[in-house]
Amino acid sequence: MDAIFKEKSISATKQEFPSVFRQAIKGFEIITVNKKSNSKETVSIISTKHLEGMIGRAYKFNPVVEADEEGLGYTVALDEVMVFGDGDTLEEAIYDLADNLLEYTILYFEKPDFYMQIENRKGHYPYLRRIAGCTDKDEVLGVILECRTDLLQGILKK
Amino acid sequence: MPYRFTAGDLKKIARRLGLQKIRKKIWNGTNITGEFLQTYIHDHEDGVLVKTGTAKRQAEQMSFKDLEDMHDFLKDKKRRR
Repeated sequence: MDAIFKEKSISATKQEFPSVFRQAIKGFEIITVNKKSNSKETVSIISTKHLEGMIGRAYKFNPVVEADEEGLGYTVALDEVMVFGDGDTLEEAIYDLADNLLEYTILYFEKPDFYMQIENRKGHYPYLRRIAGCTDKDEVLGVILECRTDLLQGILKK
Repeated sequence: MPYRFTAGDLKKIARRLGLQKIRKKIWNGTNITGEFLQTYIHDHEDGVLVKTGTAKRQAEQMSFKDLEDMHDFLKDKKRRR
């Protein structure tokens, strides 16, 4: 069977870049390979909108809310990315979580090569990529709480 | 009665494991077995109590079996990891 995707060399991709760009926008995935290197590694060029749509559908957060055992407040955790936040109220805990998640996202994308080598953190990439695409904290809250609309409504009412 | 930790306890534990504060609340580093650890510690006064759900997550992220294990580590100053 012929390969469904054909690989292009770096020089061909460079020469044809305006056309490669237009193809990617239409939904094609262009796979580029360095034919001069022994490494079989490839790079895919795809539309950002397409990428964000795919990860937005596939990578959703499921926040876990835990009340302190002696009533001192709440912890809210996103086990998908090993991030949590806490506060004396649920609302404070969720805002703290959003802050911590943003901090981790910044750190992760400062050193993606480092985090991608760590077995229990490489899978965080698509989740954090969603957060990196947000333009403000409200949007971050929307992403974190999309499966917990009850919590989101509670925050928005305030 | 749950195991209780203060913000100061958590900072002590993190330092003993070789973690450093690298952002407002993020602490990370590599322990003596070469394992990368990262957790979040609030910059509260040292005496402020940490919520039980938070301490559980911090224990997991610093590679302790559970809160009891983290408590033992805090009390046993000779214990290495």
